[in-house]
Amino acid sequence: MASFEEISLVLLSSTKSAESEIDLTALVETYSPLLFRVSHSLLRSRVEAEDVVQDTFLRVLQRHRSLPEVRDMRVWLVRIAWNLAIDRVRRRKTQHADADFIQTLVAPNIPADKALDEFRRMTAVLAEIERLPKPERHALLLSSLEELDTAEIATIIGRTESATRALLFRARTRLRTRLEKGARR
Amino acid sequence: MNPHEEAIDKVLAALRDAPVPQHLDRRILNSIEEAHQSQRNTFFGNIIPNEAPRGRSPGIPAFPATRTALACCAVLALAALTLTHFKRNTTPANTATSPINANSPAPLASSTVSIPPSAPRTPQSSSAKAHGLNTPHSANVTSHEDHAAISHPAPPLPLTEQERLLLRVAHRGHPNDLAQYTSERQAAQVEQEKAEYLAFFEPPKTGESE
Repeated sequence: MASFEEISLVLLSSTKSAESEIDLTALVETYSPLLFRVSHSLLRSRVEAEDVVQDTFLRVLQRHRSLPEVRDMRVWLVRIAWNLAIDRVRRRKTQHADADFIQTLVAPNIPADKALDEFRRMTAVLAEIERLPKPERHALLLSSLEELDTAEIATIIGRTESATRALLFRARTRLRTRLEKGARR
Repeated sequence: MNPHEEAIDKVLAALRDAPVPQHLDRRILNSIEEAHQSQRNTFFGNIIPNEAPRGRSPGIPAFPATRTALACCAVLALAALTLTHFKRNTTPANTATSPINANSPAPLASSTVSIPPSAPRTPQSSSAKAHGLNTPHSANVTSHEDHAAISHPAPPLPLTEQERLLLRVAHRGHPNDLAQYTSERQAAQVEQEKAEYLAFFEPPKTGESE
């Protein structure tokens, strides 16, 4: 197999000239960590998140002719990855087990009873996040990445900026209230 | 800080700081490259081979799938042509009787239906023979006449029993009585009816009026 240097992954738009050249290798190197985190926040599975990133760039390859028309490459890529991750969640036949992910949240050097308590607490938080209304959940998860500002999140989820802020506020409040109610029971 | 807030922040931070797998970009680039190659082979390779072997016509693709498809197309086109030709040759016999075709003996001979030698033939007219015309075969003529015959209406159906009864009810006069009903009798009957009418509607005779 030839190396990447030999294989030109530079996508040339047939209609545009050299100024419309887009280096796909650079795109992958720049955006794959962000796209991985975006898809992982929704899927919480490393393997699936990696598949989503790969699918995202394959989509880019398929639509390379429209690349020069893309204004904000970062948001565009995140949006593709986000939609692909949503599709993947929708296609899941069984409830996804978050045990592996939660295990990484529990500190390893604490006593077993405390570790179990922590595990339950984190499980409850994740369960409540999943129970949130879809727009609120999506806004919350995208904002958790701290790499996207509100305007970008609004573009990705297809809302206005103010609506996104309201969604974020409501999500946070609802989550806290539900967790408090759950703890009292 | 609220313990629940703390838990929420912890989960969200864990989502944010999810470690990116090592060599992720390398793997993605590999897969993209494979996809790119396969795409090129699929779309362009079938039509324009990368390295056309020597001696082969440059227009013919090198891949067996395309060659098979082209061969199938050629066979189909041949079959369609043959069918069209066959249909044209076995068109209905009315073409043989048309005056245009009568003047062209060679195609007419080939277009008529083959008849066994023992079949009776109608004698050709001398004028036709003299002009070298081929009259159409009698079988063809009769079939044409059959087709061209004027259609007649169907004969009336016999009356049903109910229809006959209805006729009897409607026509009560016996034929013999009707035969004796002459004009004198008819005039006498009219006179009688008139007198009866006048007698009925005539005002009563009183002494005052007299």
